[in-house]
Amino acid sequence: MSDKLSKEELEALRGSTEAVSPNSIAYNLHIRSELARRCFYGLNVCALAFLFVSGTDVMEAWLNQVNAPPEEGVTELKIRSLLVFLFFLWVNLALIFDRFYLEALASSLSVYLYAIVTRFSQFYEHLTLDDFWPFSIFVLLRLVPLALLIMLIKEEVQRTAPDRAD
Amino acid sequence: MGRPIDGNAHFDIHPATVKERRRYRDLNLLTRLERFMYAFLAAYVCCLLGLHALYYAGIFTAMERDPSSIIHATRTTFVCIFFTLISLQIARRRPSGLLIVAAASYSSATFIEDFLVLESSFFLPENPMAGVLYALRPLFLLMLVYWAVRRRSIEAT
Repeated sequence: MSDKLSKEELEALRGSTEAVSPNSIAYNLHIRSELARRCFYGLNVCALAFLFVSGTDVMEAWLNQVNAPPEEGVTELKIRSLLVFLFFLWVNLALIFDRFYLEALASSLSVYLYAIVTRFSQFYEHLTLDDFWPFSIFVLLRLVPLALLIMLIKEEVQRTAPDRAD
Repeated sequence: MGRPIDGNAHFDIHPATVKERRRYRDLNLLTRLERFMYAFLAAYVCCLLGLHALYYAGIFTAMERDPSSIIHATRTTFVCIFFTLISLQIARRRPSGLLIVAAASYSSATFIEDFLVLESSFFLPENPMAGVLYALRPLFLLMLVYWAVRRRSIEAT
């Protein structure tokens, strides 16, 4: 068998490799659904917003407003920022190289759930009726990335279902 | 004795057919190494939960309230949920790779937290079993991560 490619084959190969690299974020977003793309953008916006805000004193002021002492059994904001940064990197790199993407999302979901539960359990005995509005906004802000993560996992499982069925 | 002698003897040792491979994957059997890792991890988790039980027995009789009891209760809940779900999936012969990945990430995150911030968060540090568990924690994490990678590679094939 000859190992030389025909002219047409060479042109097709050159055309496909020049058009888009399979290791690019554009290509890997393109092969996913519209909903998955939007959720991915939303998750990135949430992570970046958290990382920017955690550099200021806004978060500590917010925690003080809802009357919860941060030093009681809950870890520092810096560690949370480090974890968010690590998972932000992992999810984006996993999407770019299309490797371990589902694993990155599942890991993010488990750690995020743990973070939410520890943060909410910090509040439950300090809450009064006056804290209702600040706390409900706080809960809503926390639930948005959670919903985005669940949607992304659902979409990815749906997308890879035919591969697993074979 | 029916064996071809024209150099095609290797056809006798036939590779697994598609049907056989599908059956193996559907059954989602654990390999020998995975069974060993599961036994080690299950023993570690049982010892950890025993330590949790001792801790809770202590706080119910203590005069002062421990401020970190809530985070301990959260961790107990998470460990129990992960252990139960993974064991159930293995028993039902259903895919468990993603759950193991999630458990490995959760364990790594708590390890980072403990290492950097909550130095005394480990249950009953004066207990001899706590010392052994504390020393074995990196090995536990390593095995969990390795098992997660291995299981996912088997399930994704």
